[in-house]
Amino acid sequence: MFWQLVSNEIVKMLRKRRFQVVMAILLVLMAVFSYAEHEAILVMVRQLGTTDWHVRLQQEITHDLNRLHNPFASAAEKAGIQATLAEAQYELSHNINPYAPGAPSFMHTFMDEGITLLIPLFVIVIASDMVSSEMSGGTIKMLLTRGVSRTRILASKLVALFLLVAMLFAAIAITSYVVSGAFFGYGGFGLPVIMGFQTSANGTVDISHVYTLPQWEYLLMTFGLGFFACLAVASLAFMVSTLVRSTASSMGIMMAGLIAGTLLTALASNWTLAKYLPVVNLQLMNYLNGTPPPVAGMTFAFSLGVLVIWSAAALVISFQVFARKDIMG
Amino acid sequence: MAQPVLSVRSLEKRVRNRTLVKDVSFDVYPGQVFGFLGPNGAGKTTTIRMIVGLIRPTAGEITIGGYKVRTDPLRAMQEVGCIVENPDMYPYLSGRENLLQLARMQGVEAVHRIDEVAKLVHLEDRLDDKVRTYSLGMRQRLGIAQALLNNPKLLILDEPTNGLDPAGIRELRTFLQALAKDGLAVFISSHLLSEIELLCDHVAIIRDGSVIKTGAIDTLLAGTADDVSWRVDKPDAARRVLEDVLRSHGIVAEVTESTKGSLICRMTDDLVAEAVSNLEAHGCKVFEAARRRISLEDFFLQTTSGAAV
Repeated sequence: MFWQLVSNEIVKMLRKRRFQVVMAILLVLMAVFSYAEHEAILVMVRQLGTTDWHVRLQQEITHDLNRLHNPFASAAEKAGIQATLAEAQYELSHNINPYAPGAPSFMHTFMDEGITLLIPLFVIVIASDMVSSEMSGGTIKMLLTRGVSRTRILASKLVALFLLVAMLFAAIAITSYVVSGAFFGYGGFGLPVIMGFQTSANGTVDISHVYTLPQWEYLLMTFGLGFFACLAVASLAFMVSTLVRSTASSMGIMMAGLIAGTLLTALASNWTLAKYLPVVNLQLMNYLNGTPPPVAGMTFAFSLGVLVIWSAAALVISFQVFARKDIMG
Repeated sequence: MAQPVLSVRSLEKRVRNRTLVKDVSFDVYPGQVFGFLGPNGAGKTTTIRMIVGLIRPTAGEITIGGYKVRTDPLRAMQEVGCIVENPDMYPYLSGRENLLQLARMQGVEAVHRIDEVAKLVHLEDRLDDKVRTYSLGMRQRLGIAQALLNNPKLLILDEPTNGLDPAGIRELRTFLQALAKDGLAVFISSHLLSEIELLCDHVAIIRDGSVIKTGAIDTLLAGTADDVSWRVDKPDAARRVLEDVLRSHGIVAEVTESTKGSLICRMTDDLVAEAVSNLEAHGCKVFEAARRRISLEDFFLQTTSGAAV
């Protein structure tokens, strides 16, 4: 019975073609990104005059060292540079090619970069519609007069939403692999990825715990963390969708929040309270590769906690409001 | 009489100091077609929303099929099929898919009934077309099909004649009366009184949030005096004769002239007989003397204008 409700919700979302539009945009973006990256590599090779990655990495290190002496760089920026520098030096000394091309590397980059804005945007497009569209379409009256409790109906919508987010992640994995593979080849799941750098706020990098993971294992972790972060985004968008009647305004509110949040992430080092905002905590995978957090003092557990608390609060509010709400005209 | 299917007792809804509905009470019995009448904004839809549990009443009690909506809303709603305001459906799904969505919420029997209810509302040929392509009349019929999926004891239709052409309205009328004959209680709200008069046997009239009259249509209308219209050859002379007849019985009533030139006055059968012979005696030819039954619409206007209450 409950799964019938969930399947109703998924049928509606798929028949509305909203999900398919998201998929089409994804495909186009993947192709554009892959092409751009492919071109960038060609240009790089032409400028360096060699395809040897050791030369390129050495150039990067020199460049980073120069940036480090830039008097205008803030302490946070310097810490970031220190981290990449340490990573590059480690790679050079252990003979690990960080530029090794391949679809898995592209997937990894796409998720790292996409989680800040692009993928949450897709999640919002889907989640904002879940409840608002029934309100503005009037169909909520049909749903709520069938002798099924309001809590059950909202729960079925939430489960359907989480399943749709999972489908979105599966789709991202498949499309990014297939599309980028056409440019970079389909191998490379076994390549080593370096883990365990620890950058402190003052810019010293601890490499005593460094180890390597095969690419596929790292990808699983990255996608898993991305999925978790997106469930938090979905929960927040779901709450807004229950509170606001129109899909457009519910989407607008969430997008404004998300974009304001990414801007904040850039500025956050000066405003420490920002670390309690969910958007600042979305990049969970940065804790894997040792990138310093946007605000000093944030840890993996802290970010997880912030996301869980916000999501739980959003869902409690959604269910409370929805169960009591008067459905007026 | 049997137990009422729907019983509403001193229902009240207040929103921020504004009383939308107050002290609304009525009963609907199996087999009845019950009309809920009132001008727009009188509180019809608010009352219906409270009956089907979309809005929480501030006070009062609603019982459907023996279950209280306040304490046992799910059981109560299993007895009800309804269309609130508009027939709501997903335009991007076909008629069948729309029915399936709701049927799956209500269990296996409802799923098996899909073809049956589609046939009942004559939609079986268009069932696999997208609802987007349906006319308003077809949407109304699909809405009724949705409402009948769970085999309800009470069917609630909010303004069901909206968007129907005269043939559609007549079809709806025979359809609903057939359903009522099988023991279904049908509750219809409307502001189109001529429709309701033909459709319903019982009515409740609501104005400014309160029910001001309720009962069987026949009983309600019987209490009002009836007009007699006269078609005569010499209206001016005839008017004096009629006024004399009325005055001689101590009745101070006006004789008015209708736009078509006939005279209208209110009198009992005995007085009509007397007036006919007096008119002949005064040389007025009587072509027609007809008693006009007051229509529900007239009654409604009298009642809701406030003056006649």
